[in-house]
Order: sequence, then C-alpha cells, then structure tokens
Amino acid sequence: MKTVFAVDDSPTARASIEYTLSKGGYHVELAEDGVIALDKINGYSKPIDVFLFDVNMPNMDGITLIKRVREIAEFKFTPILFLTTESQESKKMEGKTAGASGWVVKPFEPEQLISLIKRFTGE
Amino acid sequence: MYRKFDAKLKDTVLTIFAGEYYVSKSREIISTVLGSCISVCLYDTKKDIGGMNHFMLPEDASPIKILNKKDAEIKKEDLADASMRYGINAMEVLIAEMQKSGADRKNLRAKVFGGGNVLSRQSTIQSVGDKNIGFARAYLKMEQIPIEKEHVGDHFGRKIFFLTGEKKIFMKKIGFEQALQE
Repeated sequence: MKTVFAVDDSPTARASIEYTLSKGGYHVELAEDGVIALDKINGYSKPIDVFLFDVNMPNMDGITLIKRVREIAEFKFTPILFLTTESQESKKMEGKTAGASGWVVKPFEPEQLISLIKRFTGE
Repeated sequence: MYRKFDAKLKDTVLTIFAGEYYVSKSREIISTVLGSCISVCLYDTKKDIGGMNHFMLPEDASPIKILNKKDAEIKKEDLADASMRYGINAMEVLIAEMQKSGADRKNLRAKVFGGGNVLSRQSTIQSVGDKNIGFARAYLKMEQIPIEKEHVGDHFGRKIFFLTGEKKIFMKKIGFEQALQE
C-alpha cells in the first residue's frame, strides 16, 4: 500500500482527504501545519510516496514547507502536490520554483485526485 | 460586488452577491441580502480583519442534522459528496483569504445569518434553508470556530451589514420577494 502524507490546517479538509484516499486504497498520514509535518516526516521510518500540501497554514505555510522537505535527500524527487483554494498564478509559480510537482485547485473531484496521484506514483 | 455610499450609515458599503466573498483589513462595511442562502461572517478577535461569504448548497444536497449546534455534523461519507464540497469550498476560500490577510485561525469567530424558509414548515423534507443552516453549524463545529451569534431560519429574508472594524452586525428583516429581487 502506497503512503500519502497530507498537510492541511483545516480539520474538514484533512477528514475529506483521508476519506477519499483511504477509499482509493492508500495509507494516509496527516499533519495540521508545516512545523508538525516536518517533525513527523523526519521521524517517519516507512517510505512516503506522495505529499499533498495546503498553501495557507499557520506556523509554517506550504511554500516554506516544500523548501524544507526538498532539502531532505530522501525526498528530493518525491512527488509533492499542492491541494489548495489558492489559484493565484504568482503563488503557483512560487510553488513550482520551490519544487512542487503539481498544483490542484479545490474543490477537487475525488476520482480526479486519485488519478493524478496514480500518475505520479506510476501505478 | 459593488461599492456604494449609504446615506443612512454615512459610509461606503460593499455589497456582495451569492457565490461571492470579501475580506477587509481596513474597517469597512460589507453587506448582503439573504433569502435561504447563508452568510458566515468571520472576524479575528485580535486584529481588524473581517470577512463575509454568501452561499447556498445545491438543492439535492443530503440533509444535515440541525437540531442544535452541538448535534450538527457532516458525515464522513458526505465529505466527498459534490454538494457538500460546494459548501466546504465556499467556507475554505473565506478562511484562506482571512489567513492570507493575517488572521490567526485560533482567533477566528463566526456569526451566521440566513437560511430562511420560503414556505411554511410542514413538509417532512428538509428545506434548502435548513440544510444550509445545518451545513454552516456542522462545518464551523468541525473547524472549531465558535459561533458567537446566529440569526437563522424562520420565514423571512435578511439584509445584513457587517462593520468589520467594530466586529458588529446590523440586521434588517425583509420580505422574501425583496430578498429575491435584490
């Protein structure tokens, strides 16, 4: 089972991601902001196949988080997708420059999210 | 949305329509007219940031428990439902915009208005207005954003003015026809 690590400060968004992806056959790990996520990622012993980050979060936003995750050798090439309400082009560019593999603007169709993840995991 | 000077309030009022939202950092007056739609007004208790949305769940949305705020809940299975996602998105963009403006999630408070019912409540099917109220309560509960005040349901429309600087709301009851016209 592939593992998706999702970071979002909204409890509803986390519940929705967890429900959609576990139904799609994924193991889901969750964190509520960038600081908590980094801590969890560093201490996580099993492989992580895909990351899903929100952009606007307290303590550490998604853009800062992706920069930090890309510094970890193990995750240099791991797919990282932004899943966010943010649709501003300048933010998207900022995300891409920081190392994002994709950008999904909410609301998303559950099937659409799963097929996108599959594309990145090569399933 | 549009801005217009209001002679009574002696200030410029920004009016939003269904599907829109607005966030202010500069002590403004945001207004909207509601029938069965819902407006959630959010503000940061420590900063001059206030925002309002105006939305409605689609007619085929699944019913939501609305008995009281404590009981309101969105079922896990409904989270991926298209009609729920519509409402969730209306709330998410407002919260995200508040955060971008500098609001702190833990200092957010909500005031909820609207969800009036056009017909008298005799039908056993949950009305659109009631579904909208249920959704707003369940969503805010899940997000742990306290509802400081609400004026919802009943058989009339509402016109609201949100003074973002004072974090106060003035509400006027209006007829449903007037709510539809505006």
